[in-house]
Amino acid sequence: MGAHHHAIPEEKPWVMPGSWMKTAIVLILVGLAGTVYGFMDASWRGWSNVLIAGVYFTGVALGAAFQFAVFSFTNGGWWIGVKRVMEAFTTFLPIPMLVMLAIGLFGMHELYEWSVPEIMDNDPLLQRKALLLNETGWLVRVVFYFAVWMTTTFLMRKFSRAQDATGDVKYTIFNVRVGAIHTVFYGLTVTFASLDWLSSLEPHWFSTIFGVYQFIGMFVCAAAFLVLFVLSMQKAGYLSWITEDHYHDFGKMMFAFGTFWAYIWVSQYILIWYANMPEETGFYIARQNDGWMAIFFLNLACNWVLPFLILMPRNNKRNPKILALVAGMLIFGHWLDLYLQVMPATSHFAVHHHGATVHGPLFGLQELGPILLLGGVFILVMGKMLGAAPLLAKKDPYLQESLAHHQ
Amino acid sequence: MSVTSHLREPLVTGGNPKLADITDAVIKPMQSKPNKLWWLAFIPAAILFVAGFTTMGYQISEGIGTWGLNKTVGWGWDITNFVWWVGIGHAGTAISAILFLFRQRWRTAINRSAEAMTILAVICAAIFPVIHMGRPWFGWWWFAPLPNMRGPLWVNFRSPLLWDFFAISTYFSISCVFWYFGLLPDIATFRDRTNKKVKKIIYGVLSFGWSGSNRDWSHYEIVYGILAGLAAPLVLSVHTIVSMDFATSVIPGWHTTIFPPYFVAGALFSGFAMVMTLLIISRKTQNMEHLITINHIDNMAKVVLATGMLVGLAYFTEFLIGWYSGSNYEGFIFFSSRMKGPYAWAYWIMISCNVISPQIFWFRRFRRNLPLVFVMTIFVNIGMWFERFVIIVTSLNRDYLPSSWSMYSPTWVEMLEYGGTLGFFFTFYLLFVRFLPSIAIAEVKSVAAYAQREEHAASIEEAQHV
Repeated sequence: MGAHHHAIPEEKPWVMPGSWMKTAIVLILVGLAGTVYGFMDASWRGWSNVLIAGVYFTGVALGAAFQFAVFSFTNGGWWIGVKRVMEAFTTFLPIPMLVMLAIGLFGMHELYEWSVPEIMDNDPLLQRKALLLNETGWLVRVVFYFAVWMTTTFLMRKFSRAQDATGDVKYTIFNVRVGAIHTVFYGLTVTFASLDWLSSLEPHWFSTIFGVYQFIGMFVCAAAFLVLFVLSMQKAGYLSWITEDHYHDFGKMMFAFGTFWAYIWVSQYILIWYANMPEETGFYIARQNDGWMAIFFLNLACNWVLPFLILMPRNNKRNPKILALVAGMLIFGHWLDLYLQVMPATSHFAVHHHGATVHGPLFGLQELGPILLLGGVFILVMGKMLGAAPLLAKKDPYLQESLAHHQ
Repeated sequence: MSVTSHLREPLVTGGNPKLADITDAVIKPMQSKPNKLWWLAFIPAAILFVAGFTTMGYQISEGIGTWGLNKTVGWGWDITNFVWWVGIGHAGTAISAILFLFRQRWRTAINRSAEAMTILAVICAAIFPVIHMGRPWFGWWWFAPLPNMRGPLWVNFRSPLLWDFFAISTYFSISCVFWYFGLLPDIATFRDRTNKKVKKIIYGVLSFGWSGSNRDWSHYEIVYGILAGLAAPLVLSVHTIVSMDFATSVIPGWHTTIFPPYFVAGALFSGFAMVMTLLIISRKTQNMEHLITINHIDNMAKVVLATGMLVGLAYFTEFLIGWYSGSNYEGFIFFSSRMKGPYAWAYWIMISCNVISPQIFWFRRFRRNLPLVFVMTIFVNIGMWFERFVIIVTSLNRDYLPSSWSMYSPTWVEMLEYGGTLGFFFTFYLLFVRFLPSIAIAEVKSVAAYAQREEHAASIEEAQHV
């Protein structure tokens, strides 16, 4: 035990702040209007935005679950003070699951060309992939992925909370194990899910790094959500034990893993550009023409260039206002990244098979709808779930390290 | 960190040694005559080193024709060895830079020797492209314009081989600076400890006048942090560029977008294995088992498991996409040529050593079983050597034109040259542990329980055995 033993801080019981409720209601109302309007406008556009939102919030929950798992099995100490916020994020999984199921049941034909039998019948290349690219398989896998993720995250939360009562070290050890197992499953499921949900929007195109790219996008986005939620909770008088030194680590997380995102981005881009093979370059051609170029660069700016430059100085990583700014940028950036992956593909499909007349990026209330709707629901659910367990894991054996955390 | 959880195992064991005892333990090999075990390792290594380098001289005078390469398989053991050695180097930088930035304090006992290993491994790696040039005295055209009638002809800046040249020379420079900079306080410690006049002068010069003052230390800490920040991206960039030597091509089995992170994971995998190979021996022969504890071995075995799983996931993804791409060539290379072709034996060695056997590290009792861990680390490096062999040779030997299909097998020249780099590596590593402090004395003191004046609660035992 350390020389300076920190007293366990006083903890205010969690009540959702009024500002959260107000924000959530506004987001839900605008989101609902946008979603309905989107579907009235063109159903392919509605479904495209639903897909973006579903994948996005699956990612927020999974990113947090991955962080929880890795910090557990690497015996991390500094993060214990925000452990309960991460746990709350992981509880959101059932809602994006419903979204993905809705897509599988009702929206598939608007998004995935391989789900249209006439196209499949005339395309020998796609027929080779029918083992993976078929509607039943897609739906079954959605259920399977979420079942795995919800089981492991349930166990991680359960053991974490069980320790509150007894302080038994065995729960820490259990989470080392569940965390490791979760991570193995996560590696496999995220590879398949990104293929199912995003890559197969352009089913002729393929890239082995695609799953890694989705993984790191989720990670950074979840880190950014964590920062915003922690700062907002502190403003409302909670999490008093989170200090500048924890901010510093949040800043480093966004800085380092944002850069890792850029590394993966570059790896994919440079290899496809260099080899210049027609079956691969189509992905980038679709995203660099017809007015997409600006978004292509904005994506890089929001997800890496700006966060990298802003977070470089030490003091900026310790400044909550700057952290919030960067987190906001990354939260928007991840949406933009998914938008840039989904929309060029689905609009191209819509033009060729649904008679739509659209060239280049679309941006309107239709695009805001599903993402803001789910964002509002996310805030409401977090408002509830943060109260499901004490905000401080008082008997975690690493708690003292987190309380005394110092750079 | 002023507070340490009681769950953490002590980083220095052996009954809480005093700070002076730690210094003694580390510099003892530098002050005494080498023992029999040391000679037993040194002599064969030196013989192999000399034999291998003589063979390189023979190869340069005779030409590349002494190798088993042919028109179809233009890269063989040479590039395999090159990639293998560069990969091994990565663990040193990961331990010293990335684990430092992640505040993993257990790195303190192993970073020094891992960094030395990095430098030696990078030298071994660099030898292969150089001797592959055939006329290595023209090697300086990598960074100077080639004189000719039409004016200066520069190297091709779009070539990943050139990027590799810059990536590796940057990496080598930073690794040397990082390693030597960390050595300064410890060289000074030895300077102050030794009674021999000549040694005092030599180590005095090498220590750059380190005085141990507050100001020295404060500058040291700042520079160390900056160097760690600079070195961290190099862990990724070097093997990324190495992977691009292959992946920028249009050869099935080489051109795949996952190569950069997959190569980095593989590099860490084999590098950590090599660090363990070296440390399991040297902690025993140099009586440093209380400084490089079983806990350190356990941690490194976990890193090997994790990076091995990443490599396994990358193999799997390549297969998945090889099938999913619908491309006949991709399908041929992954499902026919590699798995069932004439080099299938190499492929299955790779799978067994890299994916299957490391799974035993899921269990704590195996991670702490030294003979087993030692054997496993050798397996991993055999597996990783075969991985590069499989990637390089099986993608080349059956190319797009079946009439040019060909087999490749190395000559004695290639084998002895590879042996020569192994000999060089172990010779200089053995010299390193005798002439320089092989453990960062000052850093280990900072994690010794004695320094922290802390007691470890009895519950450590209980926690370990849940």
